[in-house]
Formats: sequence, structure tokens, C-alpha cells
Amino acid sequence: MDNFDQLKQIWQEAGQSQVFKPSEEIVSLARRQQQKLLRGNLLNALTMILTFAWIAFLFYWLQFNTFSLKIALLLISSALLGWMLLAFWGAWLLRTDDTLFVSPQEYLTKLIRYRRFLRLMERWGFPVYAVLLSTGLLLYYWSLMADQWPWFVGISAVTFAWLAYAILVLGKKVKAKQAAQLAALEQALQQLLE
Amino acid sequence: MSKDFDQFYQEYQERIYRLCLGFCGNPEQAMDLCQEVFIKVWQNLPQFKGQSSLGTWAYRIAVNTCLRDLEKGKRMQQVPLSDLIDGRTGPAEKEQEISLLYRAIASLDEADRLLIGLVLEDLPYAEMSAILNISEGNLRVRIHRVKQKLSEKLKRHGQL
Repeated sequence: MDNFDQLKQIWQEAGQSQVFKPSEEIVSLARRQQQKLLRGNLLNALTMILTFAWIAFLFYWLQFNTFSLKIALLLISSALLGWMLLAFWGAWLLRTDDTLFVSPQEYLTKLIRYRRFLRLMERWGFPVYAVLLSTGLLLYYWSLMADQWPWFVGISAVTFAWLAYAILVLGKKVKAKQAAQLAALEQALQQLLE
Repeated sequence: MSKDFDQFYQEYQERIYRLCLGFCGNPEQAMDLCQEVFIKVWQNLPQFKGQSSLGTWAYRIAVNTCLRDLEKGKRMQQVPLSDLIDGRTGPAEKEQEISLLYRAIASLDEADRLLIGLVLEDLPYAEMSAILNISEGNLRVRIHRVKQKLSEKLKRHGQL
């Protein structure tokens, strides 16, 4: 390897023996991917509609005729709906179809904005979600089991133990992994622009 | 559109593959990344506004596709070059040289791998500047630094 021009020549020799898929196959894969995405979006929309229809059905037609039960369901559905909207917003901030075509500088800006959003979620979004959901669940259990204290305590304990495990163990792991991945990307983008 | 895409694909498949291979250092993964790039190119051709050449646009997609792999958690490992030289195998000298070069690139950090990939593709500074959206002056400094790093790595092992 005498000089840089020779390196260029060696570099360009790589890939010459590679067998690439024919372009028709790439087009067919692209079409299939689009159809899969469309089906996935339709399925997600349908699931959301059915979930809300189910909640509405429970709200109006079952025994949820007391004031506290209505408040409980309102709190739970607000927490879930709010969380879902924030999750959509977060995904929109760093969506694939956007970040693929931008310059590294714009990509970095989007990434920084996304990380700021995650920090805000952690500081405000998540505590509000946890308070709304816990209050809603407690009120719901209390409304149904006010005269059966052992059941109320037992079921509440199981629910909150599971929530605590999901947040403090599973959630922490996911968060740490995601933070490391985003930090690696941010570092690479910053190095590219330095 | 299919005919145009076919022509473009034939012209750029090896170039994009090499860039991806330089980034990830693994032929199979590079092939997957390369395929992903062309799928995105085909899917988004109707949105291509012609502000740059199609090639420049595809290179930018390739750079971002490689970077997105970091977001997905597939961080590329930096491998010490001494390990790679001791472990190199391959029947032909040419293959060994290619393998060594790609492995030397794999010992750089991710951003430098992408930059050196574009340099070795012999792209003009103006095109690289358009892909990365950084000034040509800044680009020259960055490229000089990366070239030095790569040369030092290869020289240290008596390969340059």
C-alpha cells in the first residue's frame, strides 16, 4: 500500500465479486414493505378504535353508574390517552422518513430535540401519568370493593407491585439501553460535524 | 420509473455497498444496509425534488441509514488493528489487502469511517460537502485528520 491513491484503488475493488439482488427484487421488497406498513397502520388504528369503543361501552352500559367509578375511568383513560399521544409525538420527532433525508446537522438538531423531549417526559410526563393512573386505579378498586377491604388491599397491592416492577426494573433497563443508543448516535453525528 | 431505477441501481450498487461495508466491516450486514438504502430510494423517488443529483441524495440516505443503525443499538465495535493483522486470512494477496484496508477502517470511529468511505469513493469535495452539509473548508480539515489517522494505523503495522 504505497500511497492514498493505491488505497482508493484497493477500496474500489471490494464489492466487485459481490452478487447483488436484481433491481426487480429490490422493487418487489420495497412494495411489500409499503403494504406491510399500511396493514400495520390499519391494524393499529383498528385496535385503538376498538379499545376506545370498549372503554366507552364499559363506561356507559355496565355498572359504572356511580360518580367515583366515572371519575376513575376518566382518570385512567386520560392517563392512557395522554401517554399514547405523547408517545406518538415522540415518534414523530425522530421519524424514519424524515431523518433519512436530512443532513447530519439537521439530524443532530432533531436528535437533540428528541432527547430534550425524553428528559421532559421523564421529569413531568411520567410522574403526571403515574399519578393519574394510580389515582384512577385506586378509585376504581375502592368503588367496586369498598365493603370488601381484604380484596381491596390485596388487588391494589398486586397492581401496584406490578406497576413498580414495570417502572423500576423493566422501564429502567429499557431507558438505559435507549439512552446509550441515542448517545452513540449523537456522538457519531457530532464527530462528523466537528 | 422502473427502468430509471434499474439503471441507477446498476450504477450505484457497488458504491453504496462499499460505503456500508466501510462503516460496519461485515459483508452480510453491509449487504443488508445497502438493500435498505435502495428500498428507501425506490420508495421515495416520487418525493425527490432534484435539488441535488440522485447519487448525492442516495449517498445521504446511505450515510443516515448507517447512522440509524447506531440508534437501533447496533454499535460497530472498534477492533485493534494488531489483532486484525495477526488474524488475517485469505488466499490471494489482493484479497488480503482489501480485507486489511476495510479492517483498518473498522478500527476508526463511526463518523471517520463514513467520511473516509466518501473520500475513497473519490467523490468531489463539493459533492461530499452537499451530502454532509458542511463547508468545504471544514471538510478538508476533517478529511486531512482522518487520512492521517488511517495512514498512521497502517504505517504502524508496516502496511503503508
